[in-house]
Amino acid sequence: MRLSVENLSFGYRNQSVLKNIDLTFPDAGLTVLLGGNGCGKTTLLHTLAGLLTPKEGRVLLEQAPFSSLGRKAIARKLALLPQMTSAPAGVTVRELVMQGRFPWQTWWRQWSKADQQAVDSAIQATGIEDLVERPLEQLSGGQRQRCWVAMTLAQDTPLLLLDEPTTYLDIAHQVELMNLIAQLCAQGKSVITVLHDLNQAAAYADHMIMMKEGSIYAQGDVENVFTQDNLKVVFNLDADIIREPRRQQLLCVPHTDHDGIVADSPMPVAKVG
Amino acid sequence: MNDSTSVSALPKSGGVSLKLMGMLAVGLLLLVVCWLHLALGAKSIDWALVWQALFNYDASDSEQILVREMRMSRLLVSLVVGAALALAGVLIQAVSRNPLADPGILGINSGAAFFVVAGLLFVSGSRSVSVPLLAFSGALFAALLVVMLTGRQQSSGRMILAGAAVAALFSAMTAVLLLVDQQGLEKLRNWLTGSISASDIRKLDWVWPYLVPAMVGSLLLAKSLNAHHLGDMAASGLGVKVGRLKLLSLFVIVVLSGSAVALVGPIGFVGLVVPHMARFVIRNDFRWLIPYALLLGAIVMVSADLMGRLLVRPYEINTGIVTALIGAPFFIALVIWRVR
Repeated sequence: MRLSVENLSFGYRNQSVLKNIDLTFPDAGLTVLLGGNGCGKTTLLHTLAGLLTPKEGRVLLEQAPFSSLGRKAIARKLALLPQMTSAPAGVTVRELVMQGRFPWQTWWRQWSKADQQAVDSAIQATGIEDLVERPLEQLSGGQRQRCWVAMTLAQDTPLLLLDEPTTYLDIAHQVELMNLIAQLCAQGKSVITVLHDLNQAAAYADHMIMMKEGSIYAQGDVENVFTQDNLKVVFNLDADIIREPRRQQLLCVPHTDHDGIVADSPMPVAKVG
Repeated sequence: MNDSTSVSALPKSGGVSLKLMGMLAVGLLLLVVCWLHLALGAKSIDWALVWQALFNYDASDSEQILVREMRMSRLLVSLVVGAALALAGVLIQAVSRNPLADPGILGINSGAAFFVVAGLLFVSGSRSVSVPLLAFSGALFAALLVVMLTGRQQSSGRMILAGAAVAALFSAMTAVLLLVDQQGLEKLRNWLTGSISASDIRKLDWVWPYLVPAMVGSLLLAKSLNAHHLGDMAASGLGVKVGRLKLLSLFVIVVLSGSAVALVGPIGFVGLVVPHMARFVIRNDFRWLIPYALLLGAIVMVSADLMGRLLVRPYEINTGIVTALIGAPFFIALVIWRVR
């Protein structure tokens, strides 16, 4: 049991964002967090990464509460890829990836062989060998995102938290990244990620968690959670669930008969989803 | 297909030897500037005599006394002040993620100067040794004021405006104090425009117990600053305590700029210009940026002091005025090209 939360609540001022969440994340495989905008999934991810201190309850990392662990100790177990990554000026791709080794370094132990190996394999796994000497600010959004993923991989943690990792990528790179993540899970890492693309989530998730208004609405495997009823409640989305022909995986197809919305709208804008 | 050896075969961290060579070159340049500083001035002194004054001192020779007692002291003070201000600039630009930040522009120097003036005028018996402490408290007060005025958005423009306001406020209050006390004005006018003189060497004794730990401390922060450069969230994810890092940096900045003010008065723009020079050479690795900035800061300061003595021979321009004359156009250029 690598990561779990007990009775977790979090809020800003009077507004509560997370309400009494109890969760135990699977030790291997890909866990996908789904939910509408503002349902608290990013807040949950940040609490899991230790960036936010819960108002109530606690996060347990390998049975130990976060409050008893140092920040670096947490960072050796758990890596976070934030949603908005920057392109810091004057940093090459290699330097970025090398930063992933920060939690492993101390004053008496600087750059070691293990550090070098972790960086090399992260660079290889993400296929950015040709970019390593380039400054980050010269790269496209997709290339940059792969470099940030490489940095979190270099951190060499059993747990990976990814906040919408596919956002800036074109479809081919999205698939490539999701395949990489699936491969990491097959190697025994547990990955927890927020995704916006429902079909991507259904295709890759081993475990699916749907959130609504700061609480867990449904969780379990895709077949049980990715249902027409749950999508209606969680996203207020009318959709059909069908199976794709090749691997019989679930797909959601939103209903696109939106006549009523268009008629009421002052601007002729079609709203989908 | 790339095999694993092709990746490992690349150099570990991009030309360490090149960076060391660069540092050596900058060090040599510093030595040259120091030499010129000793040899040139209202009176140019023969190089052989400078050499003698350094390594075979004859206390009866008036020119050797000039080199040893006057210029040497002044050189040492310039070195220390330049290094301290440059380092403060590197840290303040790093923590605020603002390429225009500088202890002068953000009003930290003015705050320190005001506290020193007020302390010396109003608190009797608060001479000499308490000057650095007055400067530190002023610098801290001004820095906190700027942080508060900037608010949570961390907008670069807002921070510079807040700094300008704080700087104006403290300069005005200093001016008022000095109007009230005309004698004080005579004594402090020179100091307030940032003048380096040989007698400042005595003040080094007051500040080094603070300055040395601050300089060492900034080197210890280098690795965390590298991670911080990737963004607050990414840095926290890597295990950096971002809040603590910012607080520590703030204290180091306060001690560095407060020490500089206590020594020679408020000198602006060195903290702005030098980090950009250093980044031009070394990009953004703080483990290298900090030592480079130390050396470059010393070079800039010693050169500015030298220019102040040479430009209107046999008169002198205060060093702080020279740095402002060079630094202000640089600041404008930065605003035009670096800030959108």
